[in-house]
Amino acid sequence: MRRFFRLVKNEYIKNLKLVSTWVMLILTAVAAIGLPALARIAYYFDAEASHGDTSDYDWTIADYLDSMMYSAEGTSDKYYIDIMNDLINSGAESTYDWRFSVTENLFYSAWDKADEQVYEEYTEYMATLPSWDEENYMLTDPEDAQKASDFLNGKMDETFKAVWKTDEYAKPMAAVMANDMKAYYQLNIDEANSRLSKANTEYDKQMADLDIWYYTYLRDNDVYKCTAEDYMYDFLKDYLPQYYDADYQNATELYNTRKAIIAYENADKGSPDQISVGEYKSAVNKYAVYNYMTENHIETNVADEERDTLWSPFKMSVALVTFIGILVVVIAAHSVASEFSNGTIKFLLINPVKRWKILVSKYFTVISMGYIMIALTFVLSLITSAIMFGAHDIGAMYITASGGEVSAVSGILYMAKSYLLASTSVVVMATMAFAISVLMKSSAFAIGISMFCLLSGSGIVLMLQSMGMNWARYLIFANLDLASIADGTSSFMYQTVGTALAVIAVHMVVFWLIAWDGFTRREI
Amino acid sequence: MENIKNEVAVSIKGLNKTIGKRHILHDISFDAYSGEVFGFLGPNGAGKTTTIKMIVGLLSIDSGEISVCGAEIKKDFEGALKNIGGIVENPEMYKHLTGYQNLEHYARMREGITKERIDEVVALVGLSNRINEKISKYSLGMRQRLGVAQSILHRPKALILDEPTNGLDPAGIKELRDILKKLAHEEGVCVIVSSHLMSEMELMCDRVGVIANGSMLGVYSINELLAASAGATSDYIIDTDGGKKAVEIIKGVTENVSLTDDGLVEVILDNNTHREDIAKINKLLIEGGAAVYTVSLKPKKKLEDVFIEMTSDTKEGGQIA
Repeated sequence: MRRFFRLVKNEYIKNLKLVSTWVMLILTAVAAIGLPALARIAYYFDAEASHGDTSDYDWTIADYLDSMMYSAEGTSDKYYIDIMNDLINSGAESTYDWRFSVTENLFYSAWDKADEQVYEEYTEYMATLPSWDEENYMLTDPEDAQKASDFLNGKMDETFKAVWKTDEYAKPMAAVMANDMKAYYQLNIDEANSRLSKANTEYDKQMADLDIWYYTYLRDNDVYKCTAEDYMYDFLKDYLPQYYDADYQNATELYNTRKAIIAYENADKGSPDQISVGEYKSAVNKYAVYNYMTENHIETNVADEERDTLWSPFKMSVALVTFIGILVVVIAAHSVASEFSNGTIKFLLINPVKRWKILVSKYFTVISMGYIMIALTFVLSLITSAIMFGAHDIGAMYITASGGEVSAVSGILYMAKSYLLASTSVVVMATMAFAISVLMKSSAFAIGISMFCLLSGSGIVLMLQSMGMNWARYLIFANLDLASIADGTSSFMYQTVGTALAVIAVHMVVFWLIAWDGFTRREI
Repeated sequence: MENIKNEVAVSIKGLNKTIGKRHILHDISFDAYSGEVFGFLGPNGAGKTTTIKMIVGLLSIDSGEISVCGAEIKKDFEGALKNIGGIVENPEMYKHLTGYQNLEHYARMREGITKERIDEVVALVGLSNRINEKISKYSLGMRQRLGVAQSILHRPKALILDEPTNGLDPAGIKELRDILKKLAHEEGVCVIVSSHLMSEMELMCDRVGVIANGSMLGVYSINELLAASAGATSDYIIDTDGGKKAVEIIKGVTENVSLTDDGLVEVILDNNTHREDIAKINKLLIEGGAAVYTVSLKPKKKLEDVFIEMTSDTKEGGQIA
């Protein structure tokens, strides 16, 4: 073993004294550092584009009212402005304050309700006017129209006031004015409980149960009620964190997913709308994931496309493994062929070391250098990503579910696994380059063929597949992407990791036999 | 000189090699002993390098046996190669490494080579000042010296050098010759040197194996070859006006006399008595009334000519086999 490592040391020295090796190592490092840096720059400009100047988004309620140019002439506008001014006086400032959107929703809900109540009286009144055109449902005389409008406004005025004073609106508004979120949640729980007691169908019952769970969770965990649209969450996290709560986001996702599930499961028990089987299956998994996240109050799931965390660029960095593959192929091809082309093969083989040992030492060197470069990329990408996006959620988990079963692994571990899976093609292509360079004694040839295979192999497979050639699934290129085979997202149906590994093993054995036979029996 | 020469270091028996359709070596056999410089002599394409490559394990053996210090190469490759040092063809090294790094590379493939030994050998071949330069900056002669350093680094019992004087200047050739002779005669190494130059062999070797067209013509000691070239007779040319009469007179001394086309008389005399005989012939000619203008000794064959005679194949018209 000690003698073997002396051979490996020779190979390492030969490689590390080459300028080209250092160029490759530096390129790898630049790529590993550059990718997260680029992602940061892209995110910055993209954030600029989607949020604009942040002051454009950071509205106060007063600004909002001004900009809406409410005329204060229409009845609805008048009440709206009055209510909002009350809210401002009670201390609410930002439009991202929970009180603002709750108040707005309550107002519109009450207004609609009043409108509904007044509507019948209004149509009856219109029918009594002389210019009423029954057929076209309109008043032809402008005077009559003015009368009808005045009648409606007068009716709405009193009706809305009455509705606004009912418990349904007065109670939540009281909670809002007192800035008492818990009380607000409690009202929702009470409402759901009363619905539960009156529920006739299984569907209604489950929906009421869900509401009870949801508001109880929000109440018991002191969750801040975020009111922004989903796409604004990143903006809130970055600029107005006081109005953001990850628990709210997760619980709401869970709530909505659960709603869809209940609708599907009660398809014949009074459910209003349904989703497809596929959507149902993914909803079940999504539900399991969010259930895990809400229970454990997890903010970042590595499996999500969260652009503002270190995980986004770090996940992208897996693609660099293919780039490393190119470099390793070059090293592999050069390792044997250069000995022949420089004539140093005689210098190497004139020693009391069996040829296969020299071959193994070369192969070991090539593969280990590949893994060193992969590890270097892993570490540099992680560090740079953490510097660019903050290291606070470096301990985040990769949470997924399959068949409703949650699995959560450390994000770092998940990434290590991704890198290892991606390295399969590097090893296979390096082995191929190695075999070709032994066989042809030409590094150019070996680099050319292996590079072609590495870069266009999957394209060729896709082409063959689109031409209906199913046997292409047994080609090596169709079996290198172990990650997507494991996920079931590979180009051929029903590929399994087991068969992929078998195909890879067969190819590796063939490559090795070629290299072994070619090198140990070569006449020099 | 003969004191250490005792055991067989490299033994070759019935070696055959066919590459492609060409039968390159036919039943090559010879033994080289510890403590001698063995010359492996043959014209270009005779099979010298092929044989050497087989000894150092670069080529496979079709049939026959090669043993180095008792270890047969086919059965105990590592055991045999352990005792061999050598250069095959040009000394190719890693150009992007320094001379020293190349030697370290070599040392790591063998056992028990210390840093001190490397320094010692570097000094021996006169490269101490340039050893930390990259090989790409070396001249052919410097690379040849480094090749020798590498081949003797592990104190091999058999040292095999393929045309080691290539690219060396005359001083370098002499130094190398001295190093090799010292290794063989003082340290008991078996040194095998291939060459196509008899003159070089003559100065360096104790014995010479001659190979031509893939066959061994024989193994001779340098003394034997010198004697062969010297021959048993001396050839005199006599310029006289006597003509046939002179031939008659000389026949009284020796029968080996003839008249050339130019009218000169050629006499072949036994080496043991040629001085006395020629004096006697001269005296008889003058007494017989013939005028003697010159008596000259025809130049002897050189060792080189012996070699060319041995290895040239007139049927092939001088083409490389």
